[in-house]
Amino acid sequence: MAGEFDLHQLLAGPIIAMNDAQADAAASFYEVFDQFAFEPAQQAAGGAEPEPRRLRMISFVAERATAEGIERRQISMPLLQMIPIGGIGIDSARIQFSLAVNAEPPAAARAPAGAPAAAAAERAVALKARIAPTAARDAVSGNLQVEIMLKQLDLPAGYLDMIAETQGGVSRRVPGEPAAPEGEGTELFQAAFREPAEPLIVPGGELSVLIDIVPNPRLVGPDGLELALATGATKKLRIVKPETPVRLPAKRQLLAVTLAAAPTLPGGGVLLLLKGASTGADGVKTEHEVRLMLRCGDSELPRP
Amino acid sequence: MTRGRPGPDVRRTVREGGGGRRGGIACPQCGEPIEMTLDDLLVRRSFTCRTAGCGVVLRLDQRRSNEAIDTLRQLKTKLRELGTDG
Repeated sequence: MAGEFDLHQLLAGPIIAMNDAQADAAASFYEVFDQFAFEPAQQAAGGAEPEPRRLRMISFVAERATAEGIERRQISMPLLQMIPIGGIGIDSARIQFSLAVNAEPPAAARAPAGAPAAAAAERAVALKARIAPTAARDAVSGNLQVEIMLKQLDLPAGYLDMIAETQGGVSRRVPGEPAAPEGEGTELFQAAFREPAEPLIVPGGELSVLIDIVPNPRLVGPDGLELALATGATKKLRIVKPETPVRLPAKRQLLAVTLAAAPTLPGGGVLLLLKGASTGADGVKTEHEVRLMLRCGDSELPRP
Repeated sequence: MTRGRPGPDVRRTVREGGGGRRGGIACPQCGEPIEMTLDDLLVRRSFTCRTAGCGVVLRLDQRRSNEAIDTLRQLKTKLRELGTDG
């Protein structure tokens, strides 16, 4: 019958179409992302390796009032860091349709008497189907309904890592001002939750986490590393450990931190701040702050 | 331990981790985020850190950022076409 397909083809069709649509959307987004984030590729001369593509940058002049007057600094940031763009993806889909199913006898049953036994697949009943019309009088209008819910996607993890590497951008004093400190444009250290990777603290509970501290290899004169909670969270969370001030490590180190939560916690999460400082050989002090998000649960700890 | 506000020779950078990513820039003075949207960057020419006692003003360097602003305009158009410009 016209418009009749194997049942599995009809069932798989909408799913395959959604996969294809998602791939097309990702390709379109990548095209935009590529043009937005990077400068055009430079043509390499005669068989030479092409130069790595450069991030597109945006520049600001930061003005700050000091006792000596207005201090100005030139700051350049990757555009990608300034504007978080992400593609869209299918979050959920609901497909609804009715099929007019027609069962055909197995091929083996139709085979002439005495023919060799057919394979098991050939003995199966062949189910043919077509999308049923919306009404008996409207034989050409199918009743397939597809409802797709989309969600905004963040960038892939690799790009986020790249952005993290450039976070802070490049900052230098504008001409006429004293030279910027050595090592400008690099982070003093990086930090991330190691265990658990996505810590969750619940009201009234206590949480122990390991934070992976990775100092900059060029770090000179590490000073203190201060742990603090973002303003507004200090009454909701308390840092139990470490009890004494710690130093910014010169080598990669795991820092054990224990936090205690009040009986009520803000929804979402709170920021744990790690403020590290270093004093260079020239006496110039550099600070860096890493903010780690602690998710807050909404239930009490299970009682033993 | 580091205490008090940074002096003129102190540089601070901020990295957000473990949470969602927002657009903008960490204030070069106090480290608090100065949020910026795509539309902000296309319309405004200066941004002020709202942290109490900071008040750093960031002025868009139009001479150096001409190309970046053009790119942002194109991005705005394309995101609108893709339906992802929120």
